[in-house]
Amino acid sequence: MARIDLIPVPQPPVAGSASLSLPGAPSAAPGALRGSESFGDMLSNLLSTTNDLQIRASEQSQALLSGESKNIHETMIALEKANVSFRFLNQVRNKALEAYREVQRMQM
Amino acid sequence: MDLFQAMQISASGLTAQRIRMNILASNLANANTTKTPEGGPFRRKDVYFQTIGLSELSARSYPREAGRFEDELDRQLQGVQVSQVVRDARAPRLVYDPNHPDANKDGYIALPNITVISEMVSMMNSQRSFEAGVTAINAGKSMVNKALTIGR
Repeated sequence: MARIDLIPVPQPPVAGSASLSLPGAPSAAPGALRGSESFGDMLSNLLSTTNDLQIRASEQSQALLSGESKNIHETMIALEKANVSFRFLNQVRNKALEAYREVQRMQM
Repeated sequence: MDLFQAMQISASGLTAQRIRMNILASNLANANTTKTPEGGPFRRKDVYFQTIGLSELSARSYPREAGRFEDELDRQLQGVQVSQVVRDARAPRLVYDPNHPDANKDGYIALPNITVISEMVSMMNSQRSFEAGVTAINAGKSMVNKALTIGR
């Protein structure tokens, strides 16, 4: 009878934690509720993360073209991360605008 | 455990296959080389792989971000790295050719023990592994993009 090695799976963090899993984001322990952080803070963190990823992507491209980096796939992955981060920022903007319009529509 | 970790692990696989491909190309190019700077014929080289933990992999690619939180599942994730490049220890193939400038006193030249077919099969293997790694990266990327369409 084969023994199965069970690896304990940790439970996911409680919903509502504002930690992003994008690399370069300020790391927070999952489950810690960031009650004191406003939406504006979260947005500026996201902006700086996106900016960092864009800068890193262009640095990687430079390194590839100059011959310093020999791995083209790492450059492509850095470009993808920057792309995903920007799309995420776009989605956050869309959701914020939608919420704003919803509030505008409220009858007084 | 975010999907970018999958991309990082696949990237380590791609790097390993790239190194292996270069070694195989050098084996193929030198299949008939009788003289090397260290003396003797060219010796066939091979690469050996070993696992590398995800935290060490992240530390190498992004040294600025050390100490990220990792849980039990993250510790199970392992990429690949080239542990060593070994030279073939078998004796070279001796061929009788007294007119060759590298012939020894008996008139034999030492040729490397490289079978072209076996190197080419290894190259195809390496290519398929590379493609599999790229497919894994694309799969992770499309999952992330799909998640961004939630609520659209």
